[in-house]
Amino acid sequence: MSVADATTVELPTIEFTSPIPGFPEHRTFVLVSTTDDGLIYTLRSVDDPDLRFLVVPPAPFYPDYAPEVGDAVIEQLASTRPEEDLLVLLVVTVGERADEATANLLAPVIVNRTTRRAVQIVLNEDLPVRAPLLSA
Amino acid sequence: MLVLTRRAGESVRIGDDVTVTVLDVRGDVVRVGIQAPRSVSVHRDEVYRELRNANQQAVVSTDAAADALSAALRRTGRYPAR
Repeated sequence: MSVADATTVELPTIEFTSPIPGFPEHRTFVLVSTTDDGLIYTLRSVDDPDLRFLVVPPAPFYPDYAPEVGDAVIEQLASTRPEEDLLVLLVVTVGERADEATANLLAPVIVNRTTRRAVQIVLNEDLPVRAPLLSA
Repeated sequence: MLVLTRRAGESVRIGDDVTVTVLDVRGDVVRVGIQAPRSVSVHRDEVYRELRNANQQAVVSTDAAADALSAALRRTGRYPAR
């Protein structure tokens, strides 16, 4: 039986069509499920393994969150079936204490699962950049 | 900084494919329209700065933060493992 070599396993690489604000040099990231509960993912820069973001799907944390993704974004990500293609992820800031982690609701990362293109968009809504993730 | 005087309806072109048009001026409020390729993101400067700061603060260099966050999630008891 052959066992896949960890160094050759193909990881889902995603390409940001516009750079993530603050990181103009990094466009290619690997999205990996970090924990086995399926709640936390890591976006790791291909060029710099020390550059990682923790991201989470919004639904378990903010059930009412429904970002409006405009046609320009759908086109930029070359999405043909937005309802099925697009994945919404929130960038999490852990900081000093994990209990005080926050998520960026104003600027979600939208990923097209089919084309593996992504972009961090800014919603035209009054939403916090640092919303408590584990609010009571 | 390059300083140009423009009237409502007049534009400035930046590079080959970005156009900034002054739409109207009322008191101390100026409305501008921006035409740029889709790959060029356009943000209000204060929003961009806040987003950049938030992203820079969100960077982690190891999986330790993910483990700590995962443990914090488990402690709440609200997010059952799938």
